[in-house]
Amino acid sequence: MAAAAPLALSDLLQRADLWRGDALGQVAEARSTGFEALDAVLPGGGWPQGALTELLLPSAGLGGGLGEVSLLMPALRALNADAGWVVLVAPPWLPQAAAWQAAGQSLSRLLIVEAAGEDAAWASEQLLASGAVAALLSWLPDSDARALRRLQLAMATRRTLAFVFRSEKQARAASPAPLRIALNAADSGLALQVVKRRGPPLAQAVRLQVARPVSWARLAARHPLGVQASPGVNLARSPARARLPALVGAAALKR
Amino acid sequence: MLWLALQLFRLPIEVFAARPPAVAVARGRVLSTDAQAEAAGVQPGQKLSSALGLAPQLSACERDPQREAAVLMRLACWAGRFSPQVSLAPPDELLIEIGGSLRLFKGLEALLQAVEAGLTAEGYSYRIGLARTPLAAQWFARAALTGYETHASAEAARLAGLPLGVIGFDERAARRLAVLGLTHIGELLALPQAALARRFGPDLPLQLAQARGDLPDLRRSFAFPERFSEYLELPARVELAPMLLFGARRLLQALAGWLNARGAGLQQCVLQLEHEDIDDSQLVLGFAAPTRDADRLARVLRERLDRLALTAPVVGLRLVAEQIESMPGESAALFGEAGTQRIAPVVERLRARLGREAVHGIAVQPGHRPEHCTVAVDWPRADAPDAARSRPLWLLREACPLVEQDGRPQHKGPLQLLTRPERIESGWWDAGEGLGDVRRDYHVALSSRGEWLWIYRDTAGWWLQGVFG
Repeated sequence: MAAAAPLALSDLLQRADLWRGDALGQVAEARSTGFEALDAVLPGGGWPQGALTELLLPSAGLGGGLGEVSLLMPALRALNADAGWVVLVAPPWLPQAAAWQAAGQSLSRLLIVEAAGEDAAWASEQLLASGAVAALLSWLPDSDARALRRLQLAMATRRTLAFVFRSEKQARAASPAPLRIALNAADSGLALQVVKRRGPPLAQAVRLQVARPVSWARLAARHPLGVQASPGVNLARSPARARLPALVGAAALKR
Repeated sequence: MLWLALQLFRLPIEVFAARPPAVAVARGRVLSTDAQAEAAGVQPGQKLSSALGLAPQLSACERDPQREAAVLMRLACWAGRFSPQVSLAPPDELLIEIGGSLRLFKGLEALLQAVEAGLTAEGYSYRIGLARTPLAAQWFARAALTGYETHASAEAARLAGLPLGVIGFDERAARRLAVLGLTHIGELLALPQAALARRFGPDLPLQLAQARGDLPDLRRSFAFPERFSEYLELPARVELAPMLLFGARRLLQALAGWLNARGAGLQQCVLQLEHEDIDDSQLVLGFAAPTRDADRLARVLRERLDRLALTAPVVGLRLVAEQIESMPGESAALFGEAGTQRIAPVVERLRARLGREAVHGIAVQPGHRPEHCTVAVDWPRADAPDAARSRPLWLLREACPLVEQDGRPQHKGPLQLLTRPERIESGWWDAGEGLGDVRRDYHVALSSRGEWLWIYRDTAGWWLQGVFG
């Protein structure tokens, strides 16, 4: 048996269940979103790697068209430079090859999985567990928190970017995803409302000028009040916000 | 693909911590010698009695295949440091696919240095071979040809120049080859392969084709164990704790490789110290944050050992890691060729459940009508030379008719047209695309909910065809 030596502080700090107060605030690895304004409000300065990011689309429009994929394109392009695989699970429409290529996604590294309902969640889980996917984009409108938890746990590597598209209706339900963002249309760009992040709540929506077939400036000039943004998630009333400080506290305790 | 074959050509004797000169024997004959015994003239195949005549102080150990397999497995774990794709080639070879790791290690040279440094620290005699196919790499290793030919043709020439001994024929076949006057692989390649198959069995032409890369050579990947528990017998009883570091370091190297291959780190592992007469004692190593850095593991261990007083001499070490956590890694496996190899199995699994067509790539197909410009392909191909025009990322399976109200197309409310019409036409000459004679005017449109849509108008009215995702 090891002889009992007097306990040194350095020994104590070797214990898995002890930590230093000043070591808090560690952030998971992240990859730049390609939008400075968004990087600035995300923990780690980008899309979290190895953790789910939930993108909530207006409930009537799960088909998208707001620029929800263009939002991810800069990050996907960066993965392309390293020849990482990008997989779309249960996309709402058919991807158009020329457009994806023109947007910067190499077709030689793009896979599409057509599945519905539980099969889509299962396929996403398998792909994340394989640890072979650089980015996963999954449309899971009907998934519940349990399914998301499975995805979160399945993630085999902390380098994967995993995006799940769900409906805004689910914004108020609890979710294991550490980052949740509601997307809404707005005049001057795509409006991102951070519903949950590892950090203090963010009241202000972030507006991003994601790539569009017509420039935002031209749109604003031609159609000043063209778009009536859907009401969006009101954080003040959302229970998610009330829970936030508690979550931060729990994370701190765990570390 | 770039395979590194590792032959541990003295493995049977080196698994024992025997005092040199030493030999491993099987059925009374020498199987493997250490360097000193070899210098004394002892050779594999000799009777033990003749070997003893050459080197009277020779120590002989009965071959222990179990120990060999255990060492090979430990080294396979260690090799996880270099690549997640490792294959065992018993009795004494390992294959590592390093093509996907070159970037991570900043080049072949640096990677080879790391491999050699690791093996030297482990204390095993090794030969390294590099080639595009696993079998050729093994043959080069057996022939002790280490370099890598960057040109496929040069590699083929080098393959042809190998002596036949590397293939590992049985004695009878070796004699018949000698009778035929065949000494090099190139001579076998020049013969009609059907004749070779008749004389030496179908395996030989198959192997030749696999070595040249003409036929696939699928190696079973080493399955990194779920739980790490490796044992190391110490060459001598150790009475002072700091002296355990040398042996323990080997186990830590294997642990680090295993963690790397699994993309994980640990916060705690346990070193069990085996004593002769009393129960094992345990040393628990804890880490503030998950790690898989071999140096860091060793550093913490050294600190612990320096302050440890042993109650009894130690004869063996076992390192056990129970709980691991996934950990961000530098592993390049997500990217490049290695990523492709890792995604292939999961694609197969998805196809098994969802059907073959459910998982596919897409490719650009020349044509005028958008609905014909994308085809599903079984496996992604290289990009089209140009994809100039900016089109919506999404296309509806079938264009959806839109009603017109007050002269404006409607989709959950009136649509605003943001662009001038873009005319897409095809006529009778495009009959291959379906019915010929099409004239459409495309617009980018914005719905009242802020959805960016791609719609067109033809003689039949307005249609929604695409979505700018």
